Amino acid sequence: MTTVLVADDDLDIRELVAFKLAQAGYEVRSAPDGVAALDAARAGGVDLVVLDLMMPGLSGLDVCAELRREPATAELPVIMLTARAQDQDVATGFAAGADDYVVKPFSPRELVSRVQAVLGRARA
Amino acid sequence: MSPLALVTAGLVLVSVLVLALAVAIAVVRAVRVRRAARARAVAEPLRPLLLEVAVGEGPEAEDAAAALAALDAPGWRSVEPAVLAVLGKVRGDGQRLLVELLAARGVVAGARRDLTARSAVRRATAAELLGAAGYAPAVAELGALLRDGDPEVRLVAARALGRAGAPGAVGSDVEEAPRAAATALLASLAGDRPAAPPDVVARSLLLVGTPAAPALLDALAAPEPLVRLTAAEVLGRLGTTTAAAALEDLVLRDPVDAVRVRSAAALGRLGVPSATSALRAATTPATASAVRRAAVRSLGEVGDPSSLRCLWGLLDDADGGVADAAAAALLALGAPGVRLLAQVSSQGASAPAAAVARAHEVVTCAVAAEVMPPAGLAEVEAVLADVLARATRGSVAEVAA
Repeated sequence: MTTVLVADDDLDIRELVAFKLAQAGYEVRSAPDGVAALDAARAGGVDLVVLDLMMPGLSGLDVCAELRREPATAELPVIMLTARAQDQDVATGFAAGADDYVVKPFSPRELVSRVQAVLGRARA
Repeated sequence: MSPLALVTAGLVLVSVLVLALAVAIAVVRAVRVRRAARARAVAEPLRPLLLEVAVGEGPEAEDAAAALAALDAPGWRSVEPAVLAVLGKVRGDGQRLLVELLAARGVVAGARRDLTARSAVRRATAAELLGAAGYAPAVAELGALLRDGDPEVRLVAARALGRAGAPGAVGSDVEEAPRAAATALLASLAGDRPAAPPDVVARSLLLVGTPAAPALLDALAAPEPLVRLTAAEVLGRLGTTTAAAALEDLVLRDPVDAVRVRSAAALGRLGVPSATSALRAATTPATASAVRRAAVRSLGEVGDPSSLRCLWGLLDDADGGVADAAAAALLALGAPGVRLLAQVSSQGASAPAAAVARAHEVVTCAVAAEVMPPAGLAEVEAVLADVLARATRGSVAEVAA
């Protein structure tokens, strides 16, 4: 089963994303901050990360850049899920290595579509 | 009674009062903790229903919403805070279902009533809720709240209007809401003092998006500079290319430099080549320095090759900020601009020293920072190879002579 790691310091968002992805047939793991997200991704068995940009400790950008630096996680698809919607924020997210960018408030249905699309591209 | 006895009695009384107060505080806390635990116990089993509503897909979501709408009063009281917490975090069908649920429970009607409450906190809380709900039918009331006597209430109303007037808003007045929200937001900037912080108003106008364009275009002709300036900024960020002609006019003729600066920046964002002529005209020395710099930066963003000569001439401008912006703009132009910079950089004594130094600096920094596009690198290499070839031919000729 495809496993998605959801990292967000907002419990509601974690639960909403996890609920929707589980409905769509994915196995979901959750992390409440950047450090836990990095640990979970390094532990392996994760096929895609949905990453909040602003988290305590290690930001989503830091986590993404760190994942790209490490050979074991360099190819791991990352979708940024964030309230920061300015052009510059989106550009910064992609520059850090994100594969896609979803703005909050988000459409759960659209998020699932993007997860499917990013996974499809990663496997192609 | 002796003074000592009086003091002792007083101390005992104070001790008893302190003890009673401590016990009262402990009891109140214990009651609150028990009440919260009871509410959690009731709400926890309802959590999956709430998540089902919030993800909002299919008959399951509709059924879950109906189940929550049918809860008894204690059940609803326990789950309502969680519903409000999730509201504003999702859009689409989930948002619509949550708003319908809140409407069915009377929460939306209560919030609309509270917009005129005596308490400023209640007015602000109600506006916040209606904004998070993206509730289009409340746009007129939220617009009226921009004239509230309390600045915090006005700020919350300005933020809420962005969500309630956005294309994804819910409710029966969805079609009219964006224009009404945009008009109210822009009107809040008119007058001696803006009713809400201009950056908050601008962000809300951006949320309203393209449907705000007609009101924004009208606002470019407003008598208040702050309204024109904000409209120019938002139109640029929205990419409303139909605003280009009006923005060009502002760049060249507005009496307020700040408006001209924002209009020039907006033209850069729009990237319309037809704006090149107006932007070039705004770079003449008679124009205010800030306007010239903004116009030069925008020439780089527009990227029309017809601005090469103008930017080249500005590389040794007496205003260092303009000259730096010209060098950066040439870099932004891509291959033709980089070729020109590389040629100026390699001209040595045959070009103005300031231009040579500036061109050399910007090319070197771009290469070192690895921000030079491949086409630009190729141009730099070609120019350097040409310079080397000419120098070699010169040396050979000298030796031969």
